Amino acid sequence: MNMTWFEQNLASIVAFVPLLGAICALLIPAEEKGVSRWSAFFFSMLAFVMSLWMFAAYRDYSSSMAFEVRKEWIPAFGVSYHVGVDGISLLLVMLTTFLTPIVVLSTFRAVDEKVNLYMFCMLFLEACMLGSLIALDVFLFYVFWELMLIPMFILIGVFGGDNRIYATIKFFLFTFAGSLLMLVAILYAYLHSTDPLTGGHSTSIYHLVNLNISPNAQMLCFLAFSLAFAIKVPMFPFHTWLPDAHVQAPTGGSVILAGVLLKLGVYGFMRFAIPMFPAAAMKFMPVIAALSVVGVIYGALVAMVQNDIKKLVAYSSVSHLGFVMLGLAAMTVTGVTGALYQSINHGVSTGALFLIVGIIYERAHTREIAHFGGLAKLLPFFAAVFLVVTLSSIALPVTNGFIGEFMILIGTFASGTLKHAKIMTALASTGVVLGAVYMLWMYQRVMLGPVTNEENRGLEDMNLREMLYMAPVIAMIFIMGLFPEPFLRKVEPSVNKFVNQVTSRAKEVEEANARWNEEHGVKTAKAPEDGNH
Amino acid sequence: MGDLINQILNLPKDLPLGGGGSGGGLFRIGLAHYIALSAILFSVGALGVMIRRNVITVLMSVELMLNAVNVAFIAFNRFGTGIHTQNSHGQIFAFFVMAVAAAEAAVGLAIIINVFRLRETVNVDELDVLKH
Amino acid sequence: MPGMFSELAKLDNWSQWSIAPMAIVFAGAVATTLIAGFVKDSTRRSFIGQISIFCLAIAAAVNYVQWTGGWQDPGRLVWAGSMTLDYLTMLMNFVFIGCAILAILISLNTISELGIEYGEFYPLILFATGGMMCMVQATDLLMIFIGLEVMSIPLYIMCGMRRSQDRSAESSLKYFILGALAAGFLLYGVALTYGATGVTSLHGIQRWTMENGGLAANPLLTAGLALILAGFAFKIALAPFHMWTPDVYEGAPTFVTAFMSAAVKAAGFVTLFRILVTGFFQNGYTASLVGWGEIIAILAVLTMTIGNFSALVTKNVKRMLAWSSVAHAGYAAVGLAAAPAAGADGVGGVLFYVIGYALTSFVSFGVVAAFEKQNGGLSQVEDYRGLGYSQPFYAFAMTVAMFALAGIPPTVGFLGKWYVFKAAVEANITWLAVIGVLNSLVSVYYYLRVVVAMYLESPEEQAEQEPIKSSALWLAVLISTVLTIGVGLFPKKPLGAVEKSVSPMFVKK
Repeated sequence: MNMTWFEQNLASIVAFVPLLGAICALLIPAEEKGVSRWSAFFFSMLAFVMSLWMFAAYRDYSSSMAFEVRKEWIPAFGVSYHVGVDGISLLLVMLTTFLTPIVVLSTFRAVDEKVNLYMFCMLFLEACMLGSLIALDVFLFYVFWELMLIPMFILIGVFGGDNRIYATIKFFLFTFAGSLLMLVAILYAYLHSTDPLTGGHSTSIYHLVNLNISPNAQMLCFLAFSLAFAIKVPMFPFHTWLPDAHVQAPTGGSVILAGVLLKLGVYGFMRFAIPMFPAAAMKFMPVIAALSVVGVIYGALVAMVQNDIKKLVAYSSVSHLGFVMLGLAAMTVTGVTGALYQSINHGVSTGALFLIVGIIYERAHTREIAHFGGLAKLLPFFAAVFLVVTLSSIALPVTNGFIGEFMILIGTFASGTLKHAKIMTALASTGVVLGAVYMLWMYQRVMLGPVTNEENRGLEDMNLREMLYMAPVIAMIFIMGLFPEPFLRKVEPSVNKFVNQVTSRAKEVEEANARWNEEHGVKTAKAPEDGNH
Repeated sequence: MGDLINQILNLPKDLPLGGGGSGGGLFRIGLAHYIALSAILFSVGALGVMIRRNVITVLMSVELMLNAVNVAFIAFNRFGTGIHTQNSHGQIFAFFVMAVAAAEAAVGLAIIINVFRLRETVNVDELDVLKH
Repeated sequence: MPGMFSELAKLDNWSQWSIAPMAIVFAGAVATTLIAGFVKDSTRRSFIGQISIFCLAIAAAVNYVQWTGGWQDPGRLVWAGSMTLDYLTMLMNFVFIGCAILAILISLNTISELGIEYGEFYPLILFATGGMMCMVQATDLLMIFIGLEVMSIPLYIMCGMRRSQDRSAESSLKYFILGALAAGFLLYGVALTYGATGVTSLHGIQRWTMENGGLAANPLLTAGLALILAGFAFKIALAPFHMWTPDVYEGAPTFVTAFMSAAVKAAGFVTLFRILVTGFFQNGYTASLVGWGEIIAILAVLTMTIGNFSALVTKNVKRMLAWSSVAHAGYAAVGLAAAPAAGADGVGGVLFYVIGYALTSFVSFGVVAAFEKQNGGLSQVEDYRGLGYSQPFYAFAMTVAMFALAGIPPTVGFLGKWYVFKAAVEANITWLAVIGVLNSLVSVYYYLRVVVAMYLESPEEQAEQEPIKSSALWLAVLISTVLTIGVGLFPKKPLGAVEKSVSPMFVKK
């Protein structure tokens, strides 16, 4: 196959187009709000077009990465600029480039001050997310992963609500805390890797998947990686930053946060934590699964009692990502594919929910559920859109959510490696029911019934611009619900490879560990014997 | 006493001795005595820097420490075994220490005078604007 | 009497060429001292600064010639074995000259703003720079001591430059007393080392230690090493010898603080590891009872923790940066603690860390200097509120500095941390790396506070946030900001230089 330079570097190009846009955003003077907005839209659309190209050009690369580029960067540390895309990252890249222009469009009216700063953050954030999705070098990944905090920090801190400073510092410290221990684990793994070409150490993922380290070190390293990713996902006990961040973040920030940022945690597990330490990962899978199930139910229960629509959606994210992690923990092709698919779904539908919350907040300047009631009569278009998105969120058949959750549940139920898989599936299924309860109840209280608050009579329905950016989201909900095939076809080979590799590698490592334990166990067992004689 | 210090310092017992050397025991002045003197001087100086509150006294204590260093250098050079006696590094070092001590004292006294002009005190406890 | 004098007579041209950059700096110092005496008009004294920069530039050019092959056989001992010109020296010469130039650039206009336009500042900074160059180039404890003093004495004076101000005078006095105390400790350590080995040259000590292998148990040498360590710990502000740092850094004029925290720290660290690695270390054998690696590991933990937690509760930005400077000495010491086991990686980590820190501290202190006025200016974190919108350039630079100090990629601060923690993991002291990263977590909070004030908060009443108008200051901040990010993004060449400098230290001889 004769690839042009352009196609070969497509992954990098997709990531660097937004970066170029971010630099442009900085150069545009603050008064030129219109220019800022349209240039940001232009660059995000350009990135989307590039990623569509990439999607079209992506064939089945089950044997290796697509659009792979490896260039020397910091030879002293064995670090290279190594990027590439496979089925796992492809869809997440698509999701990112899909959501960003929508977000940019949605903030044309909501953000009226410091527009250039906002657009800079948005595009810079997009570049960082894309960068960490295409990075195949753990150092490069870490750079983007950390860098991502800064624009998000500013988005929440400058453009957020009343309590934004607390929320943004909490967000920053939580995620930073997780990634610091990961840094030590990365260092440890890096120092035990070998690059056969140079003979030195390397941070490329290719050389990190066959480490030869002690069982204890595997456990500790996996835990360190997991902590970083679990905080980002966020998994159950580490989720406390999320509601704060979501409630305080501006609409655009929330959409990106829920839509893509959280998925990077899941992605981190799939790309780095699990393949690097497969045996330890398999050992911890029941714990991850159990925490996920707790997250599913806990998130749903807490969401049910929220008064603030945005907070409700935030907690629903905790619940939905519990599903995703459960599917991943199942380690079956169906489960993992479902998890990935559900990640995308969640990005689309929860992103849409946040957009809807933003639309209503722009008009009523409140998000209290009690403030609303009977809006369906006043805002018919809005009601319809909201209904579709709600149904997608509760995974009604024909919407995208159904496919994802169904695959996760089936995959988990059939899992051979996960202990108590059936019980966990059953428990998680109650989460589906609970999800329907809180979402529909919220919809009912806000939209249905008589108009309870006379103030709301003045609200206007969605305008053309809002319909314009909601339309692709609604379309995606149905496309992904009715025709999952084109998407799954791109994903499945990579997931297949991932699952096979991890399970077989886990067995190998398990055997090696057993040998290692035997050698060391013999020594420790013998020592007291010698003492007795 | 000399032997004891020699033992502590891990030095050979038959060190060449200074002075007349006709006497014995406690009065045979040798390396150990000089080192003991220098250690005492140094400790007195260091303690002085830490506990005295008058800056002039502190400065004098510093000088004491530097002189302890000189005593040690010269004694090692004169009485040491091995390569010590083949070179004069210790004595040369002492000259440099003296020169530097003089330079330090000049600058230090200027600094102290400046502080005294501003605050009319040379008590270190009262010089605490930076803590607030 | 054989020895120094007869060997001095055998000096060849190479010996003189080897100290050319240092000699140029000292010559410049003498010349500017004379010129300063003849310039009566105080408003025109800044041209002495320009002359100084010119001198430093010549020295840098000569140094560049030596670096690119103008000096054969790097590492050869010259001047009767008391000096050497290896890549480490040349690299550090670049660093010191760069630091001096940046400090002078910052000072050019701020110095008159503070009412201290004495012409003597420029010769003093040149003398201090020359002293550092001498200290790093020396391989004999005597020369190291002389370099140290030539560096320190001008600094005592420079700290007290604002002599009509209480804080400055007090800062200078404190620095002087503790500096002299440190010199006392160092000298006594040298005396004991001389007593044990009979030599003062580092290679001589090493040879003696190797020949008398049993000296791990030599109490005299151990005590000497401990005292030398204590003396240097004072200079580079390692806990528990760090008490002077916040006071001195806060009271000194900011351009002096920047110079101290950048160059003095770097010089202290480099000299310390030259002494430790060349004199007291041979192929995995450390010539003391416990091994200095462990001692420094403990000092590093103390330093990081004390520095970070004290910075956490400090409201004054300059003082907070001073505490953070203590903490950063701790991070750099992590690399030093790893050096016995990790070899060139540990020492390289220290070197890269201090150079990176030097860059970053010019950014942060440069911004502080821009807002430091004769009476008042911005001092507390609250004063920086809204700076992001009133002074975007300086606020952006400060943000870069804060993120670099916190160790967030892709800045030079992150790479430095990566390097030293890598050395720690390599040396099998992973616990030290873990403590290090936990400390960064603490530090992030107070660095963020500055960023929060600048961008996320708005001032209650529109405070005056006019920077000192100075294109030289602006240029200095710009250069160091660009380098902070630039070296972080493209570290290949700097890392190569660092490796080239430290690897010969660990070659078996």
